[in-house]
Amino acid sequence: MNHEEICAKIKDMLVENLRIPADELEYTSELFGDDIGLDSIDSIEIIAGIDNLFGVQMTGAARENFQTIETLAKYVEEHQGA
Amino acid sequence: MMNLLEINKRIKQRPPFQMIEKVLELEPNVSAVGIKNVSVNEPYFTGHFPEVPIMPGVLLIESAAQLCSLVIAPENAEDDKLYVLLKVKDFKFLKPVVPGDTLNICVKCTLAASGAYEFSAVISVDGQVKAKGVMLFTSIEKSAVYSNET
Repeated sequence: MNHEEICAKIKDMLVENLRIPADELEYTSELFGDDIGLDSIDSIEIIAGIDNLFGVQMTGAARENFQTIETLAKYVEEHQGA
Repeated sequence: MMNLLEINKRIKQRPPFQMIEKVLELEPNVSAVGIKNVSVNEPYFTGHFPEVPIMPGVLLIESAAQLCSLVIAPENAEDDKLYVLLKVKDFKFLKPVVPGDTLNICVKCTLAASGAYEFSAVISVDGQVKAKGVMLFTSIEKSAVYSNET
């Protein structure tokens, strides 16, 4: 699975689970900042969603990995199959 | 099948906040079916509402949540952990629940990953769906509940 495919899967998961309107969500949108405004409960759902989709554990991962879909995808790429 | 005494060994809630009285089916980490009888003697009916008693929707959610805790908490659960409700999604209250009703509560785990558990719940009376929705749980350290850490 390439970077683009991982980003697309993460975006689908965020749209489906967190009800973020797809047209407001870019791969570089600040998920927890002013752009989207997610909270700590949403981060738990993201961690569970990433685990479910890719088998990658993000519990305890540094906050900067959760900034955007791009950074989440990069973390998945680096830890997939680890 | 679990009776009240067996349920009491597994869940901490007690009257008037105990919302599961019998468990008909339980498959650990997967699903459960439980029963609650709704009596006119429930204390909340005094105020909700005096002339037309209706079981509050939030307590229907609580009944499903208590059953979920039986599904996800292992029999020999660590005593320092507490399973907590994080999020309630898409709950609908299709028909009122009134004194005399027997709730048939059915919960199914739809996601279990990285310490989070998502369940779908359907609450029926005499085969008619009264409420349904989705709930998200996780476990926390009991010691963290009253700490200032976020």
